[in-house]
Amino acid sequence: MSSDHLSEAVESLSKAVLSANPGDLSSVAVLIGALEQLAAASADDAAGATHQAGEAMVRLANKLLMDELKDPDGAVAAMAQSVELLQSAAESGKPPQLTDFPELLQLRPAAPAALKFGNVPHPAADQDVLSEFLAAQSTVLEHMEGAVLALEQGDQGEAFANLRRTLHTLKGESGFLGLTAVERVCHFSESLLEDKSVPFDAEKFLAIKDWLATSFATLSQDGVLDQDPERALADLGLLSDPPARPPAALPASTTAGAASLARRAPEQPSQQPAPQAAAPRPAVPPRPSPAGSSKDKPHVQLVLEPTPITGDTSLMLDFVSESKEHLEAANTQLLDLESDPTNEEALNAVFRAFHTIKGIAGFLELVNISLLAHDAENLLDMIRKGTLNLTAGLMDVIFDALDMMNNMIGMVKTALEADGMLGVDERLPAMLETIRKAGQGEFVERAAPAAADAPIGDLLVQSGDITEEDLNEVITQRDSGAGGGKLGELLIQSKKVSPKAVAGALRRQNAPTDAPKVGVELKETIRVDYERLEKMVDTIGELVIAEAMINQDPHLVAVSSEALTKKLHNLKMVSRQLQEIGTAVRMVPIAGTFQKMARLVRDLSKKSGKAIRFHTVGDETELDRAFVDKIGDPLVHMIRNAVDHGIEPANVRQSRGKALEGAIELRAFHEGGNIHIELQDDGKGLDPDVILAKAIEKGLASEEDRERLSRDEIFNIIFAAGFSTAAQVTEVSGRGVGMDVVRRNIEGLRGQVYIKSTLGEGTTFRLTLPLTMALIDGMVVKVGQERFIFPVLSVVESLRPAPGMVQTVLGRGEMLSLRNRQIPMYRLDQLFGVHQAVQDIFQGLVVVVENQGRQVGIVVDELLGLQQTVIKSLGAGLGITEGLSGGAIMADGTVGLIVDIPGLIKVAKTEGTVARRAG
Amino acid sequence: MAETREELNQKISAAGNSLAGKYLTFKLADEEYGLPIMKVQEIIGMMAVTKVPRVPDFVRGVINLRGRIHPTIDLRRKFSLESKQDTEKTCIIVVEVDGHRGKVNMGIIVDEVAEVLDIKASEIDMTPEFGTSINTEFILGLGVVKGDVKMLLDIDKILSTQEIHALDTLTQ
Repeated sequence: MSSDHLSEAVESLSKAVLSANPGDLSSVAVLIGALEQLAAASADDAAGATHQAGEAMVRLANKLLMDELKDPDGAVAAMAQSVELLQSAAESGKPPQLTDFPELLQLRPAAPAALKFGNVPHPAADQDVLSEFLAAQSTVLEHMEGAVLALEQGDQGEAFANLRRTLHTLKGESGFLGLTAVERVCHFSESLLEDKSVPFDAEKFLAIKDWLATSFATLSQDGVLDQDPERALADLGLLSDPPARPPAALPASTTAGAASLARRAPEQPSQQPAPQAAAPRPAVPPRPSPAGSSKDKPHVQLVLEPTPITGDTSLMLDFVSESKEHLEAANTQLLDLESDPTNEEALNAVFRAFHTIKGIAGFLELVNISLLAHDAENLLDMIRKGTLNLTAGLMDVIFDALDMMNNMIGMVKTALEADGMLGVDERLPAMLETIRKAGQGEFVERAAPAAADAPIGDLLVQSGDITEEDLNEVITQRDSGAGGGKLGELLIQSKKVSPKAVAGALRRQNAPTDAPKVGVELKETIRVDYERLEKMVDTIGELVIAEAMINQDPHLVAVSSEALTKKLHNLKMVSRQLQEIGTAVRMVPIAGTFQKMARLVRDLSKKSGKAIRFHTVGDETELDRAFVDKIGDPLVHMIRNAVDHGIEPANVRQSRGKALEGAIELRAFHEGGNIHIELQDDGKGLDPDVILAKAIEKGLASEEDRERLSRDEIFNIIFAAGFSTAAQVTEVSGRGVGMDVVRRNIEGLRGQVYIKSTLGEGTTFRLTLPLTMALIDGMVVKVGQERFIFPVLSVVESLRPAPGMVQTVLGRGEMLSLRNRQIPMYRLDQLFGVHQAVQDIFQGLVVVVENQGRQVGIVVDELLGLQQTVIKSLGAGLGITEGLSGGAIMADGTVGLIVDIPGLIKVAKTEGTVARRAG
Repeated sequence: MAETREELNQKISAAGNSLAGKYLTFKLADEEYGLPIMKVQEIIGMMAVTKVPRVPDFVRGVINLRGRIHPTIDLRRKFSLESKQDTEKTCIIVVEVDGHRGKVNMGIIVDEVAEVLDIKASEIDMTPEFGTSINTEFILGLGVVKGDVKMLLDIDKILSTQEIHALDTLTQ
C-alpha cells in the first residue's frame, strides 16, 4: 500500500466531508470523488478495512446523491466519523478495524458468507452454478415441506429419509457455494432431525423451510445473502448447544460473539415454541471444514450390488433427461477443450455438468453416480484452479469419466424402463481409482476388457455411426500395439465417431435385452424459458388466424380445385394440431399449489385449535401455467373461510354427532372442456337466513330480497365486498374482504364460482376455469352491423323467444319467462349503442348468460357461430372499456370484441337505474 | 400527397435518434399539423376499424395491425372539426404515446399525410394565446416554413389515457 497516496487521499477526503451537505449535490459529488480516490489508493489491500470502508462510503454517498437515504445527515455524520478514524489510523500507523466503523457503513464482519462468494477464482462460472442452484430450490423446498407434513402425520419411513436427504444435499451444495448461513442451518437441522431423543417438531422444520425460502429469495434478488449464520441459528432455535468446533469460515471475533449468543440462547425465549431446544441431547459435532466441503469425501460407500431404485420415478426421469443434456453439452465442450486447453469457458461447462449431476444424484441416492461425479468434479476443480495441468492423458481420464457417467445414467434409464433394478458398472472402482491417481498427477494404463470390443464396433456399424473400413482401421491400429485402450475411446480419439454415438452403443450393449419390460415408458423433457414459450403460443395463435383468413378468402373459395381444397384442408388440420400442442405445452400439474394449501390448512388448524384432516384429489390435473400463480390467492381465502367459518369447534361437532376431526377436501378435475377446482368442508354449512339478515343489516340487500332471491343468489351475497357473518374479526378471517377477492380473481381468469351448501353438513365451493388463458371458446353474435363474442363458459343457452314468454315491467324493463323463472333481459344494441339492430324481440335471439348464480338474458340479432379465438388486449391506450374484456382477430382480419359478462351486467344494472330515474 | 407512403415510411425509419427538429406533417381539414418524427411508428392506409362501444366518440375503434390491436383516434372528431367521409388519401398514422402506464401504440386517422420536414429552431414560434375559447395545450408551437404554418402537436397530451379517462367519465 502506498502510504503517501493514502494519506493524501485521506487528507482531501477530510476536507470534502467537512463541506459535504446533503442538500448541496455538488458538494456530495466532490465527496464521492474523494472517496473513490481513497478506495483506489487502498486498493492494494482489497480486503483491508480501509478499502472496505472506502467502498462502503462510496456506496453510501451515491445513495445520498440519488436521495435514497432516509437520514442523509446521519449518513454524512457517519462518514465524517469514519474519516476521523482513518485519519487517526494514518497518524498512529495502526490499520483500522472493520468493527470500529459506524454501523451505517454496513461493514459487519459477520457476513462474509455471500461476500466471500464473489472472490472465488471463476465468478462467472460460479454465478451460473448459483443461479442453477437457486432455480432448483423451489422444487426442493416444496419436497421438504411435503416431507415435514408427512412426518407430522406419522410417516416415519420415506418422509424421514426424504427430509434428511434434502437437508444433506442442501448442506453440501450451499457449503460449496459459500452460503455459510444456509449450510449451518441445514447442518443443525439435520442433526436435530437425526436426534432420536427429541420428538419431531414440525413447527421448527417449517420455520426452517420458510427461512430457507426467504433466504433464497433474497439471494436471487440481491445476488448476496447478508446473513449472519449464528444469528439465523439462534432465531430458528437451532443453537441449543454451543458448536463443538468453530466454523472455519468465520473470523475469530464473530465466533466468540456467537458462542456467547449460544450460551444465552436457552434463557432467551425463541420465536417458535421450542421446548426441546433446551433439552439436553448429545452434542453433534458439526461436519469439519465447511469451506472445503466439495473436496471432502462424501460419507457414502460405493454400491457394488444391483439395487432397486427407490426414489420418485418422475424425479428420476427428469434427472435422466437433464443429465443427458448436461453430458451432451459437456462432451461438446470437452472436444473444444481438447483443441484449446486454455478454454476456461469449456472447462467450466464440463465442471458444471458434473457438479449438477452430483447434486441431484446425491438427492436421489444414486450413490455410484454421485461418487463418480464428485471425484470428476474434484479433478476438474484442480484443473480450474491451476493445481493440475490439462494434459492429453488427463483429457482421456475426463473423457472416460464422462463416458462412464453417460453409461451409468443410461443404466438408470434402463432400470426404470425394466424391472427397477439398477445394475452396477463393474469398471467403476477402477475408474474412481484412475481419477484419484490422476488428481495426484499419475496416469495408469487403462485396463479394459477386450471381450467387449467387438460388440461395440458392431453396434456402431449397425447404427450407421461408422463404416466397417474405419472400424477395421482403428482395430488394426490398436492391435499393432500403439498402447492398449478400449475401442470406444480409440474411436472417439480417432474422431471417427462422436462420443455420444459410442456412449449410445455402450448403453445398447449394456442394456439387458432379456429383461421384462414392465417399467414406465420414458418421457424425455427439456427446460424452456417461459417467455419463449409464450411467444411460441402467441405465434401459433397468429398462424391459426392466418390460416383461417386464407381458408375463408373469397378468391380461394371461388376456386373449384379439388387438389387445392385438399391442401387447404391439410393446412387447417396441421395448424389446429399445432394449436392443441401449443396449449398442452403451457399446462402444468396443480400439485404444487395443492401442496401449499396443505401447509396452510395445517397452520390454520394449529392457530384456530381445530383438528382438521386435509385431503387432495386430482393433484395431477393440469392447468395453464398462467393460472397457477393466480388461483393461489382465492384458494387461500376460501380455505381460511372454511377453517374459520365452516369447521365447527370440536365440542360443537361432538354435540352434532360429527367426527371430532373436521375434513377439508380439495379436488381438481377436467370436465366439459373446463377445469374445476372444488373445496369441500364438512362444517356447519351456509345459513341463507343468517346471510340475508346480515346483508340487510349492512345494506347489501333489502327486505324485498327475502322473497325475491333464490337460495343460490343469497349464497352469492357472501362474495360482496364488506360482507362478513363473523361475529368478531379473528386473526384468520372476518374482515369481509376474502370472498370478494375470490370472486374478482376468478372472474379475472374468466372463470366462475359456484357454491353448494347444506346447513349442518358442509359447503362446497366450485371454481370453474377455462382450460387456458390464451384461448377463448367464443360464441359470435351479430347486432346491427357489429359482431361480438360471448365466452361460451358464461352462456347457459340461447333461444328465440315465443310470444307469451316476454313480459314488460313498468313499461320499460323486459322479463323473459323461462321454465317458471323470470329472467331480466337487456338489449345489447341499447347497452352498446349499436344502430340498425333488430327491434322486434321475436325476430331476435336471447342469449341467457349466467354470472354469480344469476341469469340474465341478452338480446342480440342472430348467432353467427362458435369460434375459438386468441384473446388480445384492446391496447392500453383505450383505458377502461366497460362490458368488454378484450379483442380477438376474426377470420377476415378485423378485430372482434369479446364481451365481459359480469361487466356487461353491471352496465345493464346501472343503465337500468338511470333510465328509471330519468323516467 | 407530396411523397408516397413508402417513401415517408423509409424516411421515418432512416430518421434515427438525432432528429429533434424533424416532423411528419399531415393535413386535417384545411390545416397543416406536424408530429415529432420520433413519435411516429409507421403510416398505413385506411383499413377496417371495429367500433368499440362505450368509449368517447373521438375513438373510431380498434384495428388489427399484424396481430396486435391498436386503438384508433379520429383526429377530426378529437379537434371538433366537421366529420367527413374517408377518401383514398385518408391515412392512419401509428404513433407511440407515453401513457401513464408506459408506452402505448395508437393509430390516429388524418385526412392526408404530407411530408417529413426539418424545422429549424428559427422557424418555430410560440403558440399564440387565443384566450380560453380555444384550447391550445396540445400544441407545442408553430412551425413557419416558407410562409406555411404547421401546428406542431404534443401527441402525448392529445392521446394520454388520462384524457380519455376524463372524457370517459364526462360522457357517463
